[in-house]
Amino acid sequence: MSDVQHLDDGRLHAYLDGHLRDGTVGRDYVERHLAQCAACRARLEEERHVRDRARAILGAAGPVKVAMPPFEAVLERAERERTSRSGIRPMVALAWAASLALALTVGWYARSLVLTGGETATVATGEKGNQAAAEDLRATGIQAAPPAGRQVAQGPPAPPASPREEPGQPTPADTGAVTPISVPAVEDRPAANVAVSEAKAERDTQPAPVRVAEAPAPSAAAEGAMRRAAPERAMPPVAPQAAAADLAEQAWLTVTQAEAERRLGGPVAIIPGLPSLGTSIFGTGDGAVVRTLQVLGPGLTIELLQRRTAAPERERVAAAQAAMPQAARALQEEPGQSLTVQWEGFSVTGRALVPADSLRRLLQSLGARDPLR
Amino acid sequence: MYRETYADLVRFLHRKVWDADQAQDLAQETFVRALDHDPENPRAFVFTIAANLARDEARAAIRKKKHLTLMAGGAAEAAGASAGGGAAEAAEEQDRADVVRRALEQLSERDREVLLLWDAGFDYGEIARQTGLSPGAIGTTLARARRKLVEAYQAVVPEAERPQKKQV
Repeated sequence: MSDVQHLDDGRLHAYLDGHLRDGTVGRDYVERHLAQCAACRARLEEERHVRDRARAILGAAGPVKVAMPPFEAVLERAERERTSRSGIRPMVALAWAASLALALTVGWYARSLVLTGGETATVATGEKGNQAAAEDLRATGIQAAPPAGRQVAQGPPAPPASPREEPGQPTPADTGAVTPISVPAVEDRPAANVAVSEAKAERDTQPAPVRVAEAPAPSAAAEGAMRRAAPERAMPPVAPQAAAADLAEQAWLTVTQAEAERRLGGPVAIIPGLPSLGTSIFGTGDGAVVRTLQVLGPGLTIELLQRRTAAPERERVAAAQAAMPQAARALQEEPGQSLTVQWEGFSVTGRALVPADSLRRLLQSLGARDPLR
Repeated sequence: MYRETYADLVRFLHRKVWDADQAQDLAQETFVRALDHDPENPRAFVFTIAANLARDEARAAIRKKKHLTLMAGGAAEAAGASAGGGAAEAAEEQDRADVVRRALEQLSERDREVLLLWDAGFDYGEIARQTGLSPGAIGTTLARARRKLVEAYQAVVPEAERPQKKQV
């Protein structure tokens, strides 16, 4: 008898397990073969041993005894799970709806910011003729401005006024210099919630410098304010009181990028391709600190703090003293990596909740504002 | 059906999750999930659910595998500390289970599944339906799986501890 005709292991095991039924061709064939073939009979015994051994090994794996709970326990558990599931599901659905709504709002808000940035750039290009004169006046303004800071605290509280006028309406800022208002904000940044009139030095050349400092808040109000930013600039210039000039130097002021560049006397560092949530500035000239907030992703921002590296010692110290406590306070509220790089004669500190190497790559890609936008 | 299947199901699950309490818990959960259905073959149905639950459980456990092992060791120690006389027995049972577990882990997933279904009392047709293999392939798969299990077990069990009858 040749090897080809011997019974294979599978057939032997099926035979052993009784799965070649009586009367089937398979069982008859196996039994006829076994009767004639001693080798296959020996193998059958070997395989029987393997099977029994496997059964014993598996049986050794416990559990030795299984206490079967009554079927009622299963029914009770089913009832419990049904109850808890019906309790959880609406919450899950609500959570989904809420996060979707939030994502849409943030997306829409970011889009409006991008669009506003574009308009700003266009207007700024038109203003270039005035730029030189503005620079001179700004210099005068710096000299006229008293050096520092406690006047903010000492000044009488001004009555609250709406910072968001419709174009064409007179500005309440004509009468009130500083207007503390509370803007609905996600993050309550110390210096961010102050509306400040513009410095005296700029009132003749730079129209409508009244801005509301806004923390990134995905609210309809904020969105509206951002969209009106461009028309506002076409308004007649406001006439702030003298004290405003001092205050402009003492608080973070939300400005357009063009304005920030003008005050900084150089390009504002941004990371190209990321939507900006706004630029604010603290101080003017060599001591100015510019803060730009850009969107990295959902719920993730990067903050860029930009200062002149080569600022004269006196001004740099003054700026550090005046601006950094506030900046540091703002930063402390946001954990994350912080990294400072040198860029175009400025030192730029980036801070974001990303790994250090990602932050380094982001800061390596720093660029100036896209002139086409 | 519950009474007939429960012990087999716990046994089946225990050989997948290697934790008696978890096996019992998953068996209960299996029946809870099966309650809403009226399948043609209830036994096969509950084993399908159980296999899926155990697989989910295994995936979740992969990351905390080490942790679970530590916990199992801690549980065995705790049992030893509290139960006195019964502790040695429990520890011995745990050791036996560990050896079988290590042996079973040497098998391919398909071989292991077929073997465990056979161990749970399934016939070839049911095993074929459950695993998607052809009925004709079950004998061959079982033959291979059994042999591998025996060999792996021999390799895992230390020579000195091996009882005489374990020679194949």
